Amino acid sequence: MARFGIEGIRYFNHARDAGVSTAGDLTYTFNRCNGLDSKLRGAGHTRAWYWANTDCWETDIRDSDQGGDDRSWVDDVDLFYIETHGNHESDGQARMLYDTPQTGWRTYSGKWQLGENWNCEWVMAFSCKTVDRNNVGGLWNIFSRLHIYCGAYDNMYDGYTTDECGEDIGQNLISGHTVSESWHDGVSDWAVDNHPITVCVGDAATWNNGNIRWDLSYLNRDHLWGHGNTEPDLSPNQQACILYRWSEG
Amino acid sequence: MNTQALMDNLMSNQGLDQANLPGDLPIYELRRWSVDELQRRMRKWLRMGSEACDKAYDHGEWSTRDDHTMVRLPQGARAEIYHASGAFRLTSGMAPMENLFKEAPSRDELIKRSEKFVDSLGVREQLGRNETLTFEKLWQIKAAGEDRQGKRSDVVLCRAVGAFRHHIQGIPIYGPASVAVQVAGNGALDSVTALMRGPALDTVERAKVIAPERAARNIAQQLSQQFGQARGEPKFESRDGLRFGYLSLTKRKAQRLLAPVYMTTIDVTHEQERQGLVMVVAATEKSYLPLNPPGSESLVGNSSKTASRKCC
Repeated sequence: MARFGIEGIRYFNHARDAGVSTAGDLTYTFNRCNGLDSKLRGAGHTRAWYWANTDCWETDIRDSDQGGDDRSWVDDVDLFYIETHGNHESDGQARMLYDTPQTGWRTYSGKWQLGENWNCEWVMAFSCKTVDRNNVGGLWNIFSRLHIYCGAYDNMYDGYTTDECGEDIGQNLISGHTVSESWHDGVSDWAVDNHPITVCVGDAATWNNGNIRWDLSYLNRDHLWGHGNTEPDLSPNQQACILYRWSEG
Repeated sequence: MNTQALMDNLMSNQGLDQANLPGDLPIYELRRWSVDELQRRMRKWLRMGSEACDKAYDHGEWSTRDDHTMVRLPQGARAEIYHASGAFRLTSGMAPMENLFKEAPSRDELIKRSEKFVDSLGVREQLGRNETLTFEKLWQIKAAGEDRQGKRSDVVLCRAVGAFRHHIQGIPIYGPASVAVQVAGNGALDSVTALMRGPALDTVERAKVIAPERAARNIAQQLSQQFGQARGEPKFESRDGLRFGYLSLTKRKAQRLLAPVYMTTIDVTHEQERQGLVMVVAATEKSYLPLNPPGSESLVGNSSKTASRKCC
């Protein structure tokens, strides 16, 4: 079974007061976080930690080699779910906002390196635009044996019609859907355009000189521990391609 | 915040036929279904699904949870029905990157394929009197990749999703897609979801519809309250403008009444962050639905993370 960690930030008053961002508070952050938590724990998975608001720190995902503490947090669980405001840098790095500067107000994915000798297989970010669909390769460095990054290539919407997304993702994961499909289906109601995208790496056999063997990819084969097949890790020197799947309306 | 610019943006939606907005509308009471009735309805869905997919969905492993009934079907297929709303979902168990489209058909062809499944699943036969179901939007799930040198692959179409909207007396019932049919490249049905509450029974009362300008002002005021103190100047945009119709809540929520609303999505551009909101306001003087309830708080509350840190 899987160990998971959740970070949800609903209030951004400290960031606003410090002049760091004008971002408004969210409303249904914890409906989604609680919903995912409940589904996963109900199926016997272990919540390693669940941090809220100012207890969520950018060092939790920053690599231990880069001054962060991912070894104790994000890279110490199989699945990490985060909800906050986001965007991306011009070089394709994901960027997300926190409400406390421990030690920075934002995280930049250039300083993530997940999987390594530690643990993390899947990161899910309910956060706007953390993937630049024109420069997905800008996320490559995060895949240090990480399997899939689930995010959005444009805005994700907070509202009363998207408050059940966390339960839907969790229900999909524990019902035997692949991780990629769990994300796409879980955040989509085919009315509000949440722009989901899932990103993974593949080996040379999967890249197949550009005639991609999609059947071999994590996007096709990876399930949450205990609910189907989970593919082995791919170390950086085995990675030949970065693959992505998105929904558009 | 430039309230007038936002209101102009909201009102510029060509889809909102302001001249033909009704002066008043019925507030309907929705039929509520028992779990037994819903499970019978599910058997009917499965029978139609068997025929549409040429699969044996007539036997499976049934289990009833607190808020839904699930059936595990042969070959990894699965169906579920939600007790609060009657929302139904059938998934084929096909892996997401199997049966891709070899060549992407035209949009018209993809829409036609999704329409075909709506017909073969008998969805329209479930509609009540004066209710219709019309195509709303085509969604496409695509994939691509690139190598270390930045060489990009062709884009492949994985699935097409036809989304359909339920109407009553010609008024759309917004919320999640009323029906969404996901079609694979081999022409097979990969999944279908349906959230069509009702049928509507009695008219509880008729309610006067407020003007869209008033709804737009209400939305602008809500945003002004939320962002008015911002030191910078976030930009607000509604990509689709204001829409008018009835509202179906999400599938885990019980709903007694069908009442009209105005709704929109708002994109907020901050200097470094982006933000998306779904805004819904009542289209009547009286509010019949629990719109915009406060969100839940964290299950865990504020604890001492510092005390539990392993290092640093």
